[in-house]
Amino acid sequence: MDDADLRRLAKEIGFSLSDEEIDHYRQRLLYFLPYIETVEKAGEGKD
Amino acid sequence: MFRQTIAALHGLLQKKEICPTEVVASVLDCIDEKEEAINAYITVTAIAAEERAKSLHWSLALPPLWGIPMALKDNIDTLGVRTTCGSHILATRMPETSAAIARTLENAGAVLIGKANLDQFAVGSSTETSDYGPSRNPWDTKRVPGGSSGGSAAAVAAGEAIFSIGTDTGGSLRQPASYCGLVAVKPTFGTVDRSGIFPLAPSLDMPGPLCRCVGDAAIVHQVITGKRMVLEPQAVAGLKIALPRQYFNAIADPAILALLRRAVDHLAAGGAEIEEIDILDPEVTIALYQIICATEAKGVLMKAPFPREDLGEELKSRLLFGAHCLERPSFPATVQKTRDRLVETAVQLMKRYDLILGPTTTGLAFCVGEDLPPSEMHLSDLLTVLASLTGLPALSLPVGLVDSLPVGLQLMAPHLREETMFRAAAYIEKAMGFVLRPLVN
Repeated sequence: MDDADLRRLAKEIGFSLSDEEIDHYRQRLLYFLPYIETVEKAGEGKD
Repeated sequence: MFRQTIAALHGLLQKKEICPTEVVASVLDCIDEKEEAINAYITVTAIAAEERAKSLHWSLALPPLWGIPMALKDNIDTLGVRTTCGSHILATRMPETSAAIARTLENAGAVLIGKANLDQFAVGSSTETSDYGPSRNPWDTKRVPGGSSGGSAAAVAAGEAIFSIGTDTGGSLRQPASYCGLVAVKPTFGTVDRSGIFPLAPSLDMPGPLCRCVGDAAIVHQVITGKRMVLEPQAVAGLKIALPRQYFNAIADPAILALLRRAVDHLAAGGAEIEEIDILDPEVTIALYQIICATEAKGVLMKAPFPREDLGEELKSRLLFGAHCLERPSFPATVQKTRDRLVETAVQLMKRYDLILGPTTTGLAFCVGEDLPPSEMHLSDLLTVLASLTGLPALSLPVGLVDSLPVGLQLMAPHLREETMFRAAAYIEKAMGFVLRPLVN
């Protein structure tokens, strides 16, 4: 996720991100993003 | 008096050996003595509680919670008492009506003693994200009481309430109960009226009780669900109980495992049929939970009528993650499909077993300010989210101490089969002989 994406999502939610905050939140999101891959893999199984 | 159970106090009140004003005064004295160290409450309603206790009229058949002081998590609306959700944004918010559960408890005679601290908007596992400062664990005040219903748990464990109500989205009742040596119940999804409770993730949220013993939890559970249960005999003979290997493998401390095994041995000695099973990888359930919670929380907070600039870091992180997930084409459908499969697996499993038994948490209460990375903090919900995602009822009860800190055991039952869960929990409680005696140091 690049800076512009993060700022856009924050704006959509209703807050702004300073330059220092951008790095901080990007780091925090790194902990969450692997969850997407885990669920996508689990969802690949047959119905 | 503040150390008594609901059942014991009810007996004394029924016989007129004590009166509600004395019970309330005892709990308020305890709050005066301990609250500075514990910070269980955002608001203490001392004067209103004293007035309410005076106004209660004795009758031949007292309602089950008559004169019993309770704490409500501060995301549960209370008429004329501020309800902050642990956020300064709502510091002066005065609800115009009480939540349905608050009215139900009041009708059963309970006396509101205060509004308990919580992680901001119920997002967190320690109360450290509360704008009102962290609550402390009465067993060791250097440690957290868990979260997000940490204030509710700390209040009961310290004697600052006889029971409390919290909410559970991914384990927010059961994890604090495990850390504080209490019994917590997450009822079957949909069996308690949630109106007037600020939501976090509407497809997961459930309110439930935090109590000092299984008997008290059964009393409160019956009041809030309006469903009578037959809890005798407390026998376990013939019960089929599943032990998920993955849940026990998640425990690193051999002393915790030994306690859990002892509880299982008691059940086996009582005639329960114990079987080890494999269950869906907990890493998948925790990932599914984090995604559903984040996306639903984003939906909820986007509709909330207040500015979001001052939300806390933890909440903002999750909202950003939720927004990111929702932007991925077809991802919501993948999430729903995976959840549907999980529910079907749980339903099929529950056709073969009466209960699933495992640890409630992967370890003991951690220290305030430990600054765990989010991935490690999320692990505190690792073993509780299955019941949240599938709507199964679940109960956590203490089974003993390791390093002078409580250890919790979790039982899950088929939908609407709480009776079985309570009976087995009462059996374990008696067999393990755990006594709630935290030291506020």
